[in-house]
Parts: sequence; C-alpha cells; structure tokens
Amino acid sequence: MSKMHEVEAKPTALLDTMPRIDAWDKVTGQALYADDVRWPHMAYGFLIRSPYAHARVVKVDIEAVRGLPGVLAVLCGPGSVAAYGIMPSTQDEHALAAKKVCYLGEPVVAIAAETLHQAEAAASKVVVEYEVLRPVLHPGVPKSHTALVHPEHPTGNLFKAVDLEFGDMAGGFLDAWTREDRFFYQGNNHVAMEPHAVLAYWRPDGKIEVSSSTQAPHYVQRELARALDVPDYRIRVVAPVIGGGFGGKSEAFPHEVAAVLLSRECGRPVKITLSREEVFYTHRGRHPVSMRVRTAIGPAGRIRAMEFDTELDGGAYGSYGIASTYYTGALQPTTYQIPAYHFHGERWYTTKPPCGPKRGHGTTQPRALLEIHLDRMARALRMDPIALRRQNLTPPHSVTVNQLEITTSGLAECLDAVEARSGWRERRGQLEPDRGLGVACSSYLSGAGLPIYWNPLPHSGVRLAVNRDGGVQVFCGLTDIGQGAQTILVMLTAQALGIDSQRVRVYTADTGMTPVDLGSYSSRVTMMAGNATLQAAERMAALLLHVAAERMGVAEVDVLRKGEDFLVPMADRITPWDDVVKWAEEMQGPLSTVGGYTPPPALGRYKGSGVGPSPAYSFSACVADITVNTRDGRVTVHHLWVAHDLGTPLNRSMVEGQIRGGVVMGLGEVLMEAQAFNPDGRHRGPHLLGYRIPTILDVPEIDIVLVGEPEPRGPLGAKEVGQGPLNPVIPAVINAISDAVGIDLTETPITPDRILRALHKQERGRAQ
Amino acid sequence: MSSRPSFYITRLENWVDLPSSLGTLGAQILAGGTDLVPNLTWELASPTMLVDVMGISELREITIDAEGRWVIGAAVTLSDILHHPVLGAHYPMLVAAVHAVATPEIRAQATLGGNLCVDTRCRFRNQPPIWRSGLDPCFKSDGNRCYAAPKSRECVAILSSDTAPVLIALGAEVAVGGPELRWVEVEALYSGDGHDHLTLGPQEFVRAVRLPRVSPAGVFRKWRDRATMDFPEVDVAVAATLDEGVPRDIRIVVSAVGPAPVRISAAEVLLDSSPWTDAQLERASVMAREAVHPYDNGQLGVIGRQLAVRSLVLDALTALRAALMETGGEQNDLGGRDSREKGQPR
Amino acid sequence: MAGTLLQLTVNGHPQTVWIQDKTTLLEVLRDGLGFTGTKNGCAVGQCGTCTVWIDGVSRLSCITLARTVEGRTVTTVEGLADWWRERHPEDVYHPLQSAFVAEGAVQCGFCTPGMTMAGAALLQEIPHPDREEIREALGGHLCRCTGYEQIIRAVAAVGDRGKEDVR
Ligand SMILES: Cc1cc2nc3c(=O)[nH]c(=O)nc-3n(C[C@H](O)[C@H](O)[C@H](O)COP(=O)(O)OP(=O)(O)OC[C@H]3O[C@@H](n4cnc5c(N)ncnc54)[C@H](O)[C@@H]3O)c2cc1C
Ligand code: SF4
Ligand code: FES
Ligand code: FES
Repeated sequence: MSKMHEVEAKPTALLDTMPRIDAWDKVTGQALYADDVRWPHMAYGFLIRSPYAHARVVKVDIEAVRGLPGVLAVLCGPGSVAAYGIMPSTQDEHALAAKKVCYLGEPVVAIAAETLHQAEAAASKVVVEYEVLRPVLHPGVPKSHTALVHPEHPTGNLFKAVDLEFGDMAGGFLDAWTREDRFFYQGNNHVAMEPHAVLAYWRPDGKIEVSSSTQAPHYVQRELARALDVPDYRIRVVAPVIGGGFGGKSEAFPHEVAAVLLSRECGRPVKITLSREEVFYTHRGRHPVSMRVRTAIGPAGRIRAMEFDTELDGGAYGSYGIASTYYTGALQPTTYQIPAYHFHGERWYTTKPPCGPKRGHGTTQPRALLEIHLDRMARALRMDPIALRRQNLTPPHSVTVNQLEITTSGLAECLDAVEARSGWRERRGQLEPDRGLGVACSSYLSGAGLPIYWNPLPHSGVRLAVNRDGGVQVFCGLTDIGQGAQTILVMLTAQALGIDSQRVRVYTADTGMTPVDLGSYSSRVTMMAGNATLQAAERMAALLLHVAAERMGVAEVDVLRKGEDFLVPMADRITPWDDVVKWAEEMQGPLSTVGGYTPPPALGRYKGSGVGPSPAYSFSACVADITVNTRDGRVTVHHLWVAHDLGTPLNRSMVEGQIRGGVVMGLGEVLMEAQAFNPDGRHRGPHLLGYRIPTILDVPEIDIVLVGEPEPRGPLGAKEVGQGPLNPVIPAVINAISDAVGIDLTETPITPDRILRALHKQERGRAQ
Repeated sequence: MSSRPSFYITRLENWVDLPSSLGTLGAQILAGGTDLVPNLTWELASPTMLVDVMGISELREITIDAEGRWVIGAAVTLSDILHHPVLGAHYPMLVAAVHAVATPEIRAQATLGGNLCVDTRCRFRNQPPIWRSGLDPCFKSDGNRCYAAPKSRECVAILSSDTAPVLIALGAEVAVGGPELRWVEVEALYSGDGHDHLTLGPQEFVRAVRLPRVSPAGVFRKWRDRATMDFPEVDVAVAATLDEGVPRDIRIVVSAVGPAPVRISAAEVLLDSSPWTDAQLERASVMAREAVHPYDNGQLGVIGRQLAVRSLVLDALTALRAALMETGGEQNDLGGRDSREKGQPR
Repeated sequence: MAGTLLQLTVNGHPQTVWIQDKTTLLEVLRDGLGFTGTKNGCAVGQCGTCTVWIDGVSRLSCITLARTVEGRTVTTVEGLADWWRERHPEDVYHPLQSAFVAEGAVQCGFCTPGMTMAGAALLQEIPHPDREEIREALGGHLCRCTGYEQIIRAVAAVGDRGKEDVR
C-alpha cells in the first residue's frame, strides 16, 4: 500500500487536513470550467489552422464565407495590431499568421458563427493557398534561406544563446579526472485534462471581458492589451475553474486574441474551445533539449568544475524561451557544490509548436542528465551513488557559485530518508537479475525571484475585507488551477485571524476585481500569495485587536483570543468575533486591509542573473526500484520512494496530491511521453493514444517522506511542492535501468521498443 | 460538435433484414460503435447510413449448438463475454484477449463482431482532422499512395483486433450472414489489404463466432506501451492440443503487424515434427520474426516491434510448453525438460 | 440534414431533444441539455472524462451516438446524488462524492465526474472492491493531477464502509 510518512513530528498549521474548498463543486458537477459557461447570445469561434509545418501563405480568400448561413465574422491577416509575446524582449507572435506559417496548427483564419457547426462548415469554404517549405525540425544553422523560420530574425534560427561562467574553470579542470556524458531529453506536453477554452466579449462601451482557462490572468491581460492596442484597464480577464495547467496555460494564446477580435467584429460574446488536437499544436510544453556535461572530479569524489551545454529546440516562437534557456543552467549548483561552472545554452527556432514552461520549467532536462552523469561517474569511481552525492551537497544557508541564496535545505535528510526506506544499502547489488535501484536528487524554486517583465511592484497583492456578517473576503489575483491555491488562502486567513475557515471566502483570478498576483507558475503561489495573505490578515487581526481593546477599555496586551472570541481575563469579559467586527465597522467604516509580497532581492548582478533566484528552494530525492523485462522490453516500476523538503506542510492531503501528481507525471516523461514529429513536421500523434500519459495501471507504489525544517521566509514555514518532486523521478528510473541490465540509455522516453533495441545492441556487442 | 459527416441510423430488430439494409449504397453496420464513432468524429469514415444491429436479439446471444459448440453472436458485448458464467473457464485465452481490449467502459459497449471487423489502423491515417488536411489521400482514403510503405501498392494498415489472433489460434469459425449463410475460418475473414481488409461481400456481415468443442491449450500475449487502453503493437496467440503426449494442431499466430493476422506455418511445421526444446522454440520464434514485416505505422518503433515478435513468440511458446506439460503428464514429446523456468532470449 | 426528436431520461427526468443522427450523447448532454458536469477531454474515447451511466452501466458518452440510447436512462454526475438518495433517503450525497472530498481525490476536478461515475458503478457491481479491482475499473480514466492514489483510497473507503451493503 502506498503510504505517506513523516520522519518526525513536524509543526503544521492548524487546519492541516482541511478538505479543498472547491471539492464539493467538483464532485457534484457544479464547478464551471471555461467551456461550461454560456453567455447570452453567444457565438462560436473556429480557427482555420495551417495543415503544414512550414509554408508561405500565398493567398487567403475569405469572401466566399461572408453571408453563409450563420456566419457572423471572418478574420485573416495578422489579427493583432502589434506583435506580442510573454517575454518583453521577444515579442514575435500574432494571433493569425499573415505571411508565413511556422508550425502545423498555426491559426490563419478565424470565423465566428451562430453555431459551431456553421463556423466549421464556413471554414471548409475558405481558400488558403500555401507555398510549402521544407520543415525545420532540428536546431542548427540552416543551409538555405528558405530554412529560416523567421527570416527577419537577426541571428537566423538561433533564437538566443547565453553563456555564463563562474569560478576558475581552467584551474578546476587542470590535471583532474573528468567524465563527459550526453543526453537527449525529448519534449513533452502538459496534457492538462481540460483543453483550453476562452469566452470573450467586446462590449459596446469598449470594455473587454475575457473568461479563459489560464494560469496567469494578469499576463493574459497584459498581452491582450499589447496585441489589441487598448489600455490594460479596459480588459478584464477572469479564470473560471481550471482543469489543470502544469505550465500549459501560462501566457496569451492565439485563440484568446482571436476570440476578442471576433467579438469586436460581430458584437457578440464569442467562445473558442480547443480540441485535444489543437492543444498539442498550441503546446508551449517541455523543450526537447540536447545536452552535454563534463565534470572534473577531485579526490574523494568532490566536484571541482563543471561544463554544461544545452541546446533547446524551441519551436516556432519565443514564448518563455529565454527563461527556459537560462533555467537549463541555473539550478545545477543548488543541489551540488560546483566551485567552477560554465554554462552555455542555445535555443533554436524550428517549425514546430512553440515550447515553453512545463512543471519543472527548464530544470527537468538538465537535472536528468546531471543525475545520470553522477551515477555513471560513481560507477567509474567505484563509489556508491548516494555517497558520491553526499560528498557534494550544497549546504543550507549558503550561496551558490552562480549567486543563488540557499536558505533551508533538507537535501541531506531527503537522501537519508530514501536510502533507508528503500533498503538501498542492503539491497543494491543483491537484487535478482534484471532488477535495479536508482537514485537522484533535485531542487526547485519556491517562486521566481523576478517577474516576467521587470517592475519593482509586489509579485502578489491581497485585499482583505471583513463584513458585518462576520465573514471575511480575500481578494487575490492568483489562479487555482487545481493545486488548491484557494484553499491555502482560506487556511492561512483563518489561521491568522483565529477564525473558523467557513467564514472565509476567496475571490481570485479576476483582473477586474483582485489585486495583481502574477499567476500560478514557478511554484510561487503559496510562498508569495500566502505571505501577502498573511500580511493582510495579520493587519486585520491587529486592527480588530485594537478595536476590541478600546471598546473593552483595556490595553491591547490584555486582550486574548480564545477560539474566535476576544477575551479579557481580568475583566472576565468575552466578546464574540461578530461583535468585535461590528464595533470595528462602527468605529472605522467598512473594514479592509491589504498585503503584498515582494521577494528578497537577488544577489547576482550578471546578465541572466534574473533566472534562478527564489526566496527559498525545495529539495527532493527519489529512489526507484524497477525490473526490466528483457523479453518484452517493459520496465516495471515496483516502487518509488520520494522524499521532499517543503518546509512546513500546510495541508497534508494537498501536499500528498501534489507530490503524487508530479511523480507520476515524471514517470510518464521517462517512460512514454513524447511530443515528437514526423519528418514532414506532423506531430506523431496529437491525441491521447498517440501521446500516452500514465493510466492508473501504470502507477507503482509510491512512498512519500516529508523532511526539512520550517522555512523562515515561507508562510508559516512553507516552501514549494508543486513541481520539485517531478524532477528526480526521471533520472532515478534511468539509473535504475542501468543498474538492472547495464544499458546506458541516451534519450527519453524509454519505451519498450527502445529497451529491446538497446538490449539487442548490447547482446550483439557481447557476441563480438 | 464536430463536422462529422451526416448519416441516418436505421435500427433493426431482425437479422433477416440486414442484407437488404446493407445493400443500400453507403450503408455500414453500427455495433458498439467504439471503433466507428471515433472514426466518424475524425472524419475517417463517411457512411450515409448506419445499420444499428444492437437491437437484433439473435446476434446478442451466447448459445451451444447441437454439436455442443459454443456460438457467440456478433453483437454480444465484450463485457458479456467476460461476465459469462462458464465460457471463460473453457476458453481462458479468449477471455485474456477480450480483457486486453481497450478499457472497461469500451468493453461494455464494444462487440465481438465489431472487434473482428474493427477497421485497420495506421499512424499516417488515424489522426485527427487538421493533421490530415494537408496530406494527399493514401490508398485507404481512396488515394494512390501509401505513407507507411511508399513502395507498397496496397495499404498495409494494421489489424488491431485482439480477439482475431486468438480465435484463429483456437480454430474458431465465423458465420457470415448475408444472402446466404456461410461458415469460414476466422483467418479467411481477412483479405490482407489494409484498405478493404475484410473478405465480406457487400451484403454480408459477421453473424456469429463458433468455438471448437474443446479448447486447445493456448497462450496470448499482447505487447503495447501502457498497461491498459492501448491498441496492440504486437499480438501473439499460440495453441496446441496434446494427442497422446504429442502436441498437435499447433497454431502460431502473430497479429497487429499488418492488415491480417499471420500464421507462422513454418514454425508450426517445425514444432509439429520435433521436440519442443529450448533451441527449437528459439528457432520457431526466429521464424516468426522473419515471417512478418511490420511497417512503421504503429505507435512503437518498427525495429522494436520486430524484436518483440520474436520475444513474444518465444515467451508464449515457452508458457504453452509449460501448460502442456502440466496437463500432459510425463510421457510427452515436449522435450522441454532441459528448459529453464522462463525462456530467456539472452 | 437528418434531424429528429430523441426521447430519453436524464437524471430521472424525461427529456426530448432535437438531434441529428450523427449527434453524440456527450453533445446532447453538454450542448443540448446543459449537463456540463460531463466533460469533454478528447471526444474520441481515449480519456474517460465523458463517462455517464446508461441504464446504470458506466459508458463513454463521446463515442455513443445519441440515437442509440433512445428511450433509455442516463445518469450524469449532476444526478448521482439524487440517484443515491432515492435508494438511501438518509444520505444527501453519494458516499463516493463525500469520500472524494475527504480523501483529497479531487484536484483540478476535470477527471472527477468520470472517475466518480465509474467508481460508483463499480461499487454497485462489487460493493467491497479491493485495490486491484478499483485500478482495473478505472483503467480508462486519465487523471493528470493526482497520481491516482487518493482516488483509489476514496473508492476503497466507501467499499470499506462497515462492509455492509452499499447498494
Ligand atoms: C481508446 C480505445 C482503445 C481501444 N483499444 C483497443 C484494443 O486494445 N484492442 C482492440 O481490438 N480494439 C480496441 N479498440 C477498438 C474497439 O473498441 C474494439 O475493437 C471494439 O471491439 C469494436 O467493437 P464495436 O462493437 O464497438 O465496433 P463498431 O465500432 O460498431 O464497428 C467496428 C467496425 O466493424 C464493423 N462491424 C461491426 N459489427 C459487424 C458485424 N457483425 N459484421 C460486419 N461488420 C461489423 C463496423 O461497420 C465497423 O466498421 C479501442 C478503441 C478505443 C476508442
Ligand atoms: S498503410 Fe499506407 S495506405 Fe494504409 S492507411 Fe497507412 S499510409 Fe494509408
Ligand atoms: S471525452 Fe469521451 S473518452 Fe475522452
Ligand atoms: S484531478 Fe485534474 S485530472 Fe484528475
């Protein structure tokens, strides 16, 4: 039976087993997701998408469509007024392609009609002529001009190259024993179960209402404002209930811009819902990355210096690409002390759906190689892989070579825990044939230290109000994408105000109603919105205490809290919360406080130092116990032990759910998932049989151990849990496969056919 | 909504009306629809009329004929087969295959006839609409080329019925209804051309499947990526009957590697005439690998699928040998005494 | 275009809808009748989010042509509690709904309607399912958030309820 252990009794928040506040709506079918909502007189939008990966758009004729039954609006051309994009320095997207299409599925024409059926029927009448170009499928300097994805881009298909060096590289490699390894990490998709959907209404007064399945309403608002050239305040972006994100709903997409434009054109609300196929084309998932690492090792297995090169296949547009590129080099030093470190990263344009952030953003791929590399190094040095890692752990309360400030770290305990629970020492090397154990570590940010666009403003804002009904309202821009962010806010508020959680309502993900929170990405919500909420709630608590003391004629120190009540022991007076609230409103008018959170300043001052800093880092370790079936090539994962340091767990069941979800997603990445393409640029299978994610029967026993101490910077001591536990699973499984059958795989995913090929090769190698 | 092409549905109550309904231009049988409806949604099929056979009670029965043979109606659902009180005990290999099909919800809807007649699949065609819109039609879409096998002059799409190889291995027969009733071996149902993969005439349909009175011993192996839901990338079914200690009527069937299941006759002959030593089983598995020529139109890589054919045949034969030895007692001609527990290819 | 009336019972109430023969049950439920609790995660039978009961059997509504359920009884996640209450007036909700909430089996919730319908159907068939039976029954339901464990626990918890009859 899969279990969740805790190594020691940990300080936990009061309400640590509170069920999610949205669970009932979700089990009764009441929760409304973007596609579930209908606005009066709503029209249906449909996008005609390029059937080619790379082509010039020669002609678009939409005239035949106007006047067809039900058709309300047809648009082509660039659509957006200005190019937009999530990163200020790479604004390279338009809602509709005008001159060129750069991936199969890129939208070219948008149609709105009374019914979806009519929109689709009209679409079949639109004539788009293409001049098909050879697809660009791999990073690298193209041989001809037509193989330039964006001919106007100054560095050709090279989107961006970054190069960082810290410490004495030459000295580190001098006379040292070195090892080099390479790996190709295949790209993969988020596969949130909910396909994206948007509902947009350009109102007669020029205000724009958007309801969209997004993780970051604030960024969508900003990008829409740019794409449409309207002031931000005219646009309101609301995220309804979201059916999973994992990074896949973190920026504005063509369908969102198109829905707004169609609505402007026809004067009615327009809904666009993506099919599963379209989701695979919209993508912005994990980058495929080719990587090389070379490490110099000193006596006793201490790392002296490391070179790490990454080459990211970025797809057709920038998306978060700059950040992704830096992330492929940023977090290697957070787990292991690397005195000298050189990182070179390149991201290339190709004619595939753009890549961007997916759970573990940019750190998952290099983490896989780094951990595989350490294992192979340990083997060469005849060291135990865990011992080798222990030699090199980055200590708590230290600064890494690339200027990242590590505060608390439970990485050593993570390793201890998975080592002990997996029976590593007794079992490794003693297992039956074809069975193996593998280990890996990882760490992740608790929110990026810098925002996507530079600004000195808080990353998260909260407005808290207490009503005379005794209820508390918390307004915050964050989005609950399923991770339970709203519930955490309720818990923190109730905790800080000393009240029953039933009194608290949260209003989130609405740029028209809530203070800005940057969004649900980079595991930042609990840390940042949590701290902002605590600040607002503590201010409210102080205000109410002040009022209570004043009305009861005592000093504030004489007022105690007992349950929800305000107690003055010396006067033997008890005043219920509801009365104090009414007193306060009587004295001060409607009650409201605010809270905000800005991360501590980053230490690094170099170009690129904006990617990597975080208020605090989570740490994890994983041991995988697997058997390779040498007959059919299947890898059976028997057991995974995962230890994670997230500071104080705020809600046990939600923490467990995050870890399990991340771990299973990691298992999918290592064993089956591939956003891969045919030579003609077509996706290998943009559907859930072609792109396979783990089913319930593919999931092994997973034991979870929570370790670590409360993080002083985190709300009630908490750090991140949403992304970190995914990363170590992939290399742990690969290392276990090497341990089991002695094959060193060089790419993901490790499907049964790949295992059979590798075994076959091994067999032939032995025979020779 | 999707732009599924329009069609009419006719629901029949009596199979006698089937041939004439099927005679209508563009008519096609709708059984469980678990294969057909997704294909309609992706615009891979464009019938003008669907003949719903689920109301035909004769097609939904599991009976025993005068000679004591089980007869399963074409519209019996896969979960009906799994839930049948006695059938499973007699034909465990059939149950294994049925259980390997898709998922519980799909099996509750899918039929045995639909599974035998399931359309062939290919990674270059079973794709959603946008994917296909820029490609010239291939043979299976009435075009004149094949993306999976550019040199081939016909479609090599994959038959992914899990029950077909097993029913062939069992020696089952199919009642083909139509203007006239005829019984054929299951093997004879498949033409070998992925485009028009069944040998049924325009007014013909599968009416029932008849199982042999006594089931031979058999082993079924399905190879796919995930533990459930996925179509087979390779299917193997092997069966044999012990005749005074000697394995007879050996059938080795490999499927999901082309438009029709393939019997590995050379290997069948080999094992019919010599003891089942490890070396012979190994040889039989190599023969199987050499006899099939999968193209890269499945989900997993073609070299891996070829290797899997060998491994799975070896594994299945080894398991079959063990099963036969268990039932056949000592004085048999299996020659497997020197064998290890599991036949390891390495 | 072939349009005709379809009659069926949804969550205990007779409904008549105008459909084309090519319309799926999922389209009727979501677009025609507004039962948006039933989700569309793939539209072609590959994810399980559209699961409803047809005459008490767990089925995929996206690959069921609406015409083929003429006159039959459909239960969606919105009707699960009512269906249970009719048989167990003492309860307001189906115990599996409560268990999903209590066990943390819900994250984004998009798989939840399909999971609960399949889980509740299993509990009808096998009142005290073991772990393997639960995993087997939910094999066609993808969940990207939970890693499945808490879902298994929720179904098991209902199965364990006093081991008395949950029918
Ligand atoms: C997610 C998913 C996974 C799947 N996995 C598998 C798998 O692992 N293995 C597998 O084998 N299948 C699989 N299938 C395909 C399908 O579900 C099964 O093959 C099923 O048994 C088909 O039966 P049906 O009654 O639903 O057929 P239908 O869809 O009704 O019919 C299939 C075809 O057969 C024809 N037909 C049906 N009955 C007859 C008859 N009596 N006579 C002549 N023609 C007939 C129909 O006209 C149609 O062309 C999967 C499907 C999905 C959606
Ligand atoms: S095998 Fe060839 S002809 Fe047949 S479906 Fe595939 S590409 Fe088309
Ligand atoms: S929507 Fe029906 S199975 Fe995915
Ligand atoms: S809870 Fe999100 S898909 Fe299952």
